[in-house]
Amino acid sequence: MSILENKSWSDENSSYVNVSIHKMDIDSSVASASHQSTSFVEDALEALKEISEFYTQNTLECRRGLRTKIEKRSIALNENFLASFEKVKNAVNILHDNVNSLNTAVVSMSSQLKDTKIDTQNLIELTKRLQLERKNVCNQQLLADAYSKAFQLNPSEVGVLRSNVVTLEFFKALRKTQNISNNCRVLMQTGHQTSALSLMEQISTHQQMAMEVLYRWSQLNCKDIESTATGPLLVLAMEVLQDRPVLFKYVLEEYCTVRQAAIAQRFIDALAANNSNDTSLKTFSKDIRQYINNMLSWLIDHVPMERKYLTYLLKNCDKLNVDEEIATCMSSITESLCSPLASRVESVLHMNENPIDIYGVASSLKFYLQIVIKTVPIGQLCQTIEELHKTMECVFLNKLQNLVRDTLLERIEAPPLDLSPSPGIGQLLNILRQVLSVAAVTEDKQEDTSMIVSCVLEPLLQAINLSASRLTPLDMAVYRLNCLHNIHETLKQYQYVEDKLEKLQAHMTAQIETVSTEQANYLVTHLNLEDIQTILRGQGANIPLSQIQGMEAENLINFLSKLESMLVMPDSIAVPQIGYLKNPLHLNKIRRQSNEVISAVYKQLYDHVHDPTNEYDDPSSLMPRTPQLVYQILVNDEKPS
Amino acid sequence: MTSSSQYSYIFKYIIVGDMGVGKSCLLHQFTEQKFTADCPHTIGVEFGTRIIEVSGKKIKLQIWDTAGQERFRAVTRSYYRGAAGALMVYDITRRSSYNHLSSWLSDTRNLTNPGTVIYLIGNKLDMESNRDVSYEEAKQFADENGLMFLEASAKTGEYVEDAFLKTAQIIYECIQDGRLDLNAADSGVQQKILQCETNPNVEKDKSCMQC
Repeated sequence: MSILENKSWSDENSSYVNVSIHKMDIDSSVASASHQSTSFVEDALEALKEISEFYTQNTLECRRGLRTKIEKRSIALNENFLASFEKVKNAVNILHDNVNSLNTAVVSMSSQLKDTKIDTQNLIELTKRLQLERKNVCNQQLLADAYSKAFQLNPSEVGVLRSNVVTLEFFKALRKTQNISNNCRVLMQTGHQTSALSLMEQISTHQQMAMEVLYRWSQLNCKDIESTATGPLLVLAMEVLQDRPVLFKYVLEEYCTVRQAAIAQRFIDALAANNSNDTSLKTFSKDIRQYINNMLSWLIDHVPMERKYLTYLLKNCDKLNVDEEIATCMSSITESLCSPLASRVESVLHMNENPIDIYGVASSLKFYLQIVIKTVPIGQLCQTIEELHKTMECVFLNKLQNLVRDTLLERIEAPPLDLSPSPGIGQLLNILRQVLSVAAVTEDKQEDTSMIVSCVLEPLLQAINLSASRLTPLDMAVYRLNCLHNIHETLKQYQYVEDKLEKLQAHMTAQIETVSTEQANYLVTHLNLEDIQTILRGQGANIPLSQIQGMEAENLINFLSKLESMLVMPDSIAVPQIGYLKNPLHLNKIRRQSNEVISAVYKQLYDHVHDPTNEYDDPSSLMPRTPQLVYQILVNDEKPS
Repeated sequence: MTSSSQYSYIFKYIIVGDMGVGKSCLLHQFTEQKFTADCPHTIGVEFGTRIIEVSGKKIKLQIWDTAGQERFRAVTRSYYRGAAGALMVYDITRRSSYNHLSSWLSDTRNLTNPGTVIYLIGNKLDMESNRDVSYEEAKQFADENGLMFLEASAKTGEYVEDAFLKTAQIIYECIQDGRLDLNAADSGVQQKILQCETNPNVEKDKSCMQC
């Protein structure tokens, strides 16, 4: 109904659209009043409906009973309600119990949770602590790692050091031990003596062991310096071992022994005829100079090689005097070569008698010695070569002296009639030439040349003196002049014999003077000048010369005519021995010197003859030629006009 | 000729005397400052040179050491000629060597030119205990014959230099005051012409021509 009313109201509203605002307020208050009445109506309706169910007949009885009935009904309803409510109450009770138990459970849960929470907190704290601890431990580990890196060897390195195989790793490990011990030293300086000492002790044990391993390995392998695999390792080993002087020394000694044997073996192999190839040195043994030269050149080829290896071996050693070590070692390595060399060179002495060959050998030895001494400055090898050289030189001089003596004894007899040099002289000079031709290849030959020349020259000159001493002075002078000239001609081709040449020249000058004196005397005799000369020398009295017996013009003519023929043929008058002179220069000199004497006498006589006090008639026709002219013809060798 | 041959004069010397008086030893002592005991007998003539200095002038001494043995007299005679100085040696421990001096002196006088300086040397002064000829006696002999005189020892070298140097000094003085004629063939002295020193060959020829 209210809806209808509302509908009608809304219809009304709609029918009265333009009603004022006052009217709308009224409407709303009406509506609310109507609404209240509506709900009251509804309740009544409901109650009536309810009554209608059991009030079926409208009878008095019923009307009377209605009330009871309603009350009964209400009681029943309440009872019903009570019973129902009882159930609800029970259910609520159960619910209450449940809730209670739930509550208990929740409370216990919550207490448990509380406990757990506390536990968890502890755990977290623990974790935190542990984490911190872990961090520390990590740090400590880092430190420990660094520490062990700085102060400890790792097991593999120890293994490498202990194994007997030397490799590059070995040296790496060894270098590490060195670093560690250096670190230990730093550690010690920073105040950690105890730990540093114990570490050091530890590391030095390792080092010691490694050194021993290295030492044994080096000793075993030092023979293989030439191999490319072992060589570099050996170099490293020597570098390391130089810190252990004793071990270093032992290894070097072992090396020297091994190389010594090796080079000696190779030398002997080279000497022996091993193959059909004619490479062996012995094949030349027929020619001793070639043989010795080959031996020595083998030495100067191979000895520097040893030096090269040795230098290579010690190239990294910087803590000792490498040059000194090398010198000592080279001396020791080459020691083994001495005896085979010496025995072979000495055997040459027995094979050969020829002093020229022996001199060749001696000068080869000297030559090669100068080369060898550069690679092996000290030691037996040079000493041996030097001794051999000295021996050779001695033997050579001996043999040369013997040869000279024998030749002189056999060949230098009395001088031949033509006063030419004995054949032995030529032979000796030939020997001298041959020896000097060998000398030409050696260094510092001045001494050698002088010695050799003296060795031949002195006995030769003595022999010439001896053989000539039986001759007449003139023969002797000519003979010696010829011999001396021969020697002089030979020697003047050589260097370093100036003193000998000077001596020979002086000897020759003396002989030339002797011969010229003889020749002058001969001329004086043959020109009948003797008396004239004597008178001229003794002249001093006041008697005119022409009055003196022997000085008359007739007498002078005797001399002057002879002189005249001599002026035409200046060479006509001469002692016979002059013809035997081999050197025309000597002959000329002698002629000039003797003619000078004659020319001087002529001048003297000319002056006297032209001196009016001597009372010669017509001096110009007696002695028409001026002394100057005579001098020119006789001394300056000009033809008379 | 070596480069050391820068000298102004060459003086020729001759050493004479009996066998075994020590002529060769004197020469060795003077030229090499060495004494050789058991020096072998000289056969014929030996030769030695040394450059000395007199009054600031370099002088080359060419010394002929002759054999004392009689059989070489013929060989040695040719070397007397042209000697500027003659050292006549005897052995003070052997009178016979002293007694022969007059014969050596006459040989020397005959074979050399009058200008030759003759120096008498009594050798073996080191063997004073065996002396056989007194200094005074020899000094008197020297004075009588106009010789220079000293005693020397080739072994110790005592007065050896003096003998050679004093001789050279006297010769040099003779040249300076003109007593020694350099142009004479047998003066025993050769003068070096300065420009020749640079050319030894020319000099050599020249000196030969002068002889």
